Amino acid sequence: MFSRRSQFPIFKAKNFPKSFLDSAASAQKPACVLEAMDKFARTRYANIHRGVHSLAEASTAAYEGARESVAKFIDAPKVESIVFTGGTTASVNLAAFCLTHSFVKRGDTIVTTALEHHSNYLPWQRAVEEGIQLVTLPISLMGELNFSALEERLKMGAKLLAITHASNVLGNVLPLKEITALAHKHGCLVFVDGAQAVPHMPVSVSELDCDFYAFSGHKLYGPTGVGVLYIRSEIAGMLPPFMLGGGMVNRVGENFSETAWAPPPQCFEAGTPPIIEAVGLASAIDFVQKIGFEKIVRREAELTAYALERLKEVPDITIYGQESGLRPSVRSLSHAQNIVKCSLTQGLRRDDSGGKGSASQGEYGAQPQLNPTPSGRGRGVGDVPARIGVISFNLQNLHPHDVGSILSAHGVAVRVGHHCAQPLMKSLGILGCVRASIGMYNDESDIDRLIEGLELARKKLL
Amino acid sequence: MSNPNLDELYQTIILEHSRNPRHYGRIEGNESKCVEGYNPLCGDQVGACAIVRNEKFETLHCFGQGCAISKASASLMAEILQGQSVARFYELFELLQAALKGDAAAISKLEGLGDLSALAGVRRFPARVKCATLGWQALKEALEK
Repeated sequence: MFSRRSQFPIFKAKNFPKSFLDSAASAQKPACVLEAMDKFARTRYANIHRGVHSLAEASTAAYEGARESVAKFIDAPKVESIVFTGGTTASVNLAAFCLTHSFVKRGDTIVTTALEHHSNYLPWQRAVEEGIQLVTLPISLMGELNFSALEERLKMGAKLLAITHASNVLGNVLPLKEITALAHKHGCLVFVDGAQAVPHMPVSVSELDCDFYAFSGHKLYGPTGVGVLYIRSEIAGMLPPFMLGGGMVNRVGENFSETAWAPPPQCFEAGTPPIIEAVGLASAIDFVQKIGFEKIVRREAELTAYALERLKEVPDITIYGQESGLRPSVRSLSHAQNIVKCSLTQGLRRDDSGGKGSASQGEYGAQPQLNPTPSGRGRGVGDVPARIGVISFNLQNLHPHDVGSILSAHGVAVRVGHHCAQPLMKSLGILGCVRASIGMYNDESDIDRLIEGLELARKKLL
Repeated sequence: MSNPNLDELYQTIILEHSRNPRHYGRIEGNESKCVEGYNPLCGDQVGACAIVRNEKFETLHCFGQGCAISKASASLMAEILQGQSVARFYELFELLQAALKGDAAAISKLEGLGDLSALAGVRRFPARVKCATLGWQALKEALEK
């Protein structure tokens, strides 16, 4: 049995739901992550980059080590590209502020999609107040993006595309590499919300060739309060800072205009960062990598396929999005062709030369490259699934909250409601739905209990 | 984090009202005061319309889309307060809110109120308390408009 429940202490907690199917909201934490944070806080903790005492040095080393772990994990060419934030939402807000105060100006267009989580929608929507146009591309009922609609907008000169890697409702994985290539062809920057993708598939920002990539620690079996914003190094130095405060400034001038900021990533990390949490995130990355994405992807695809098969048997059910977890769509086939297959472990042993190069002033002072040439240094990330184990559905006209309460009483934890994706709910013509999502600790018994619970809901409410 | 009995939440009277809400639909015209309640958690939109004369509900309707609890609660409210005084509404709303917060005296009072007593069980499902008060809150806002 693949299920790794025994490594997650919370499953032993009294009254913990028998079947936790809400990992897309937040994943549970393995013992090693909790222990790593506990041990660090007990033995090595101090503020970073501040003191010359040995404890501060040890703490700084752990924090910067976590940054290196993240850089390797998402195959970022430079460690300075990794900014620690409070989470995906904080990452999007940071990027939105910086971009709408630099590259994206009054009269420019930002393109997003109807698939987005509110956190990758509202920060861009606010830019409309600054005289920036926001275009929301429609998506198909399967959650697919219309490429010609996208290209049309790109041809009209869109400056930025803000798009999710995997839908938090429909579970489909977008063909990002193609999307990024198309956007870059037209000189459009690409911001990716990777919150749902990162826990379930190998991600290489070098392969994807995106300009920004955001994700959270807590969905990746790590702690809350820490997230990541990857910023392409050629761009990072061109952005103004977002939050101002300690640790992000080189020299405070008499006037604001004379103040000199620290180089990236420090200039984006004002204040005391989530130090203990970053250590926890590094431990979570280590945990996931020890299992290996090859196994994770295969097992989750299997379980997702099983869940879809079982759910399809439930009378009166409407499943949203792609009903198959394994049959590759036309889009994902062409996507797969672009993916260099090699094992993850091989990739991790890649030559790191240049990966830790320090940021020279000249480099950060360079003109932004809006058409960056493919770096060709991606490590090859292995198979990318066509969808993740996020499945949304409704039972006839039953309200998701009623179904959720009955499932909860049956020991099944799911998420109900609009899933912070109101534009998508509107596209689907619904107010909300029930979402079951799979983590590495789930197995077939959880799906079976979900099906039982749905039978119960039908009996009780229909 | 016990698992309370579902039958306390989905009592027959609640299921019946949610399937066939009473006094359902907006009341058109200038005389009626309507407010739609919104639950941001689920997107439910359940509201109330009232025509008040001499401090009494001449007509009281509920409307909108919601879960079984929010629809049933609004329907029960419309049924029970039809022709009753506005003061009685405030009295019952206060009682309902107190009961849902777990106030023992309020619970025992609510349980003596016939069909309305069906709502007392919602207190064991904290995530659903907002559903049970959505229509009531809308009516309060309509009256104070």
